[in-house]
Amino acid sequence: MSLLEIEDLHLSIGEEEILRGMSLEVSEGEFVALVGESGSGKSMTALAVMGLLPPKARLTAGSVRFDGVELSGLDGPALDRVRGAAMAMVFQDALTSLNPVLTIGDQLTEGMRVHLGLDRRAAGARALELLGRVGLPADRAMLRRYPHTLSGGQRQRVCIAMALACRPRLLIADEPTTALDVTVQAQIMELLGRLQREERMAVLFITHDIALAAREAHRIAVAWEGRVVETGLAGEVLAHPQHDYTRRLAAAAEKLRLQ
Amino acid sequence: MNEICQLERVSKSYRLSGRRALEAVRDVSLTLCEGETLGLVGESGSGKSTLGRQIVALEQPTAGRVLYRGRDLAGRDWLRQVRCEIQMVFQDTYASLNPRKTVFQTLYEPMAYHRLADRGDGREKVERLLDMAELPAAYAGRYPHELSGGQRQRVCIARALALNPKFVVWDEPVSALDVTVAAQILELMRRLQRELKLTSVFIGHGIGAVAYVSGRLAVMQAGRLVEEGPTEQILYHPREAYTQTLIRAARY
Amino acid sequence: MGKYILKRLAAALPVLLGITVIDYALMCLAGSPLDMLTGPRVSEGALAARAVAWGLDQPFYVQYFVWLQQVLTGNLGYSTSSFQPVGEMILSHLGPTLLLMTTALVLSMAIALPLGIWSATHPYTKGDYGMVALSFLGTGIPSFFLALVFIWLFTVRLGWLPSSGMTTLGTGGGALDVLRHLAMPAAVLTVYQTGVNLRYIRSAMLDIGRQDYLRTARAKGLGERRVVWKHGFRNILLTVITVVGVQLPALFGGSVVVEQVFSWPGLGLMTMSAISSRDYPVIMGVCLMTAVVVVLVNLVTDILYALADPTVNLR
Repeated sequence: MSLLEIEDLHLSIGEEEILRGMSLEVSEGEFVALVGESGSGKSMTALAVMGLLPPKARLTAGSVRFDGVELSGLDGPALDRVRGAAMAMVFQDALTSLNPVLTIGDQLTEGMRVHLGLDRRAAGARALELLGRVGLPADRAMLRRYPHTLSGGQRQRVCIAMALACRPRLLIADEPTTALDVTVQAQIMELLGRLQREERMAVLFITHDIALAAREAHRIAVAWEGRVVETGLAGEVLAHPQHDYTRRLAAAAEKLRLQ
Repeated sequence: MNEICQLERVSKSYRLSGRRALEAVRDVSLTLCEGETLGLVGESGSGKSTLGRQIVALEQPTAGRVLYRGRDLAGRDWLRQVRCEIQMVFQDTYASLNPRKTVFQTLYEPMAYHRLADRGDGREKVERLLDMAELPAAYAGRYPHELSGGQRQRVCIARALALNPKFVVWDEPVSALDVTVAAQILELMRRLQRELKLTSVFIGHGIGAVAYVSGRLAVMQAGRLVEEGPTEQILYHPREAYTQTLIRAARY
Repeated sequence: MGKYILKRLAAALPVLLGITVIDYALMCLAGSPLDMLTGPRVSEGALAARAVAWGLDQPFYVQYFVWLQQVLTGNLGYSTSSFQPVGEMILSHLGPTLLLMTTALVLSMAIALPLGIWSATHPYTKGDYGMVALSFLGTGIPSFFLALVFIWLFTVRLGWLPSSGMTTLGTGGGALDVLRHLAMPAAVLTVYQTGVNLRYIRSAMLDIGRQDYLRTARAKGLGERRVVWKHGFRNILLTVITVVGVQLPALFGGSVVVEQVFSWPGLGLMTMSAISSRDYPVIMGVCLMTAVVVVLVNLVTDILYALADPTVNLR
């Protein structure tokens, strides 16, 4: 049994069908990249897993199972016991993803206090440890800072630390490097790969850049028009793309990358 | 080759509160020859976009001069004469298009203002621009929100071309786009540069995309020009450590 | 911080001076207090004597400078109709006005804040539409009409509440008596302000609801209550500060209509009668006070803003 099983998921916003039979599995400890462009439904898939769909979105068919438990029928409180704890998410825009009026420390520790029941001191100590793990200075001054005083790369590191806080078994990262400078992109990508190995967690990495995905992912799934059209080992998919759309993605990624 | 644009020791600083100032561009000198494409690479805060705005005279440098065809762009008369020849395309297509104007209005109005089109041939000229940007003529009636990001960028490109420019500054035109769309826009740019014999400055943070369209590269870091030369030379024999970092990131 | 406050206050001085000049000029254009005295039983000579006594025979800029000079020595002058010192008049009317307006502001915020946040977190539901309708109703009903309805219901029909004044005549008053008098005027003002505040808070919270950081908070599984009240509320506070900051000066100005209907002895009522009798010193006194209050409130608002929003830096 896989850790995350998305089966034949259908989702509509108004009249528009966004997901048309999306199926995807992520096993324990596996790094899977879901690759596709805007409109392919890759981000909606992630939001559906986390129960964060926009109000107008409706799941019309299919199922999302995490560790064997069906998520799509869960109510808010039941879902809140899973998200932030066993599965966590990192978003694209680290600047807007952090609350501007709360300190880094506050935002890092609140999840642990809710899910792990840690007291202030224990949560603070774990927050420092997390800062070190994501390559930020692990000092108390850092915890007292506000998001706007950090650079884009630092903010994304804070977001990753936040997601790791409760030792999730699955980390979903939705284009976490797209808003960053190229050199920072590479650093964040390497950080994700390292953390995945160290924490032995599963990662679902969502991106439009198939070559970037192939750097760290074990397996690549290509999303197109609301479903997965091709899936396989990362190197295989990049070297021998089967679907026409995968070929186009690979060719485009080549063009933007130095040979 | 003829020199079309020269930057002579251009600096630009912005006054922050109090006596502090942000030196966005420091002492940059560059020469652009007619018909060439210069890639301006650097990360956020490197000053590349600020330099772009100085080149198209959207802002005046605090020190130094920008010469266009040998004359200072700070001169109002000269700027008015050549204003149409120099165009800029931006990264944020949503912000650069008026949401209440159709594609037709966006493209027709600048041409009408400069008497390059009138009611008689306006429709035809707009359609030709759309064709140049590889958009169907039927899109003329659409509003920006009815277009995808790539289509909006094509409209922005068509608008930049409406006034028959000779010189275009592209400020991260593909950074906000999906990879396949970005690749198509890069192809379009290459074709337009060739066919219209444009002189271009292409600003970007990924050296891969920039190198794909540029014959010459200039690398900026913290407001300074740290390295400059033919694309091949920069890519294969970079002198500066910073350039090597950028290249490594683009190969990642 | 101290330096910033001093800088702001110094910058406010020319503004205050300008406001008084404009006020004085406008007032002189509107007419002279002598106009109020003319009539068949007043002789030309008496008028001329009064003009000299009040300094109205001087050009208006001379009058202004005389006034300014006195203000700088702490003398706001004397009313031309009641002959009381203006400073004392303002002080004695300020209390009732502050009591009335503060009650209304606090009540309206206490009602609008939870309702507005609830409304925004349940957007486009029946309850939300109900709130929006309520808010329109609150702002839409004219104050004088609602006041009359209240008087008809609570005084005339039910006989529960007194309809005018701040204390029952002939008694010493006492807290309970004042409260009974306060109830209706405060309620009328609260209805209106709740309507206004509800709308501000709902739209601010709707806006915050779309922010990415709220989605992040939800993704952390904090529970909807914590998401709204911790992550949303801290940001809503900025809107509350702005809204209250805009409404505070009105707190001192009072509500002319409500004070009039309920004969509430506040500043609004006093100012109204001063204007109708062209009582220059009183009008100028009230204008000066209002201007000073606006300047101070803006300063306090900015300071509160900096305290609530770490990205704002006062310099």
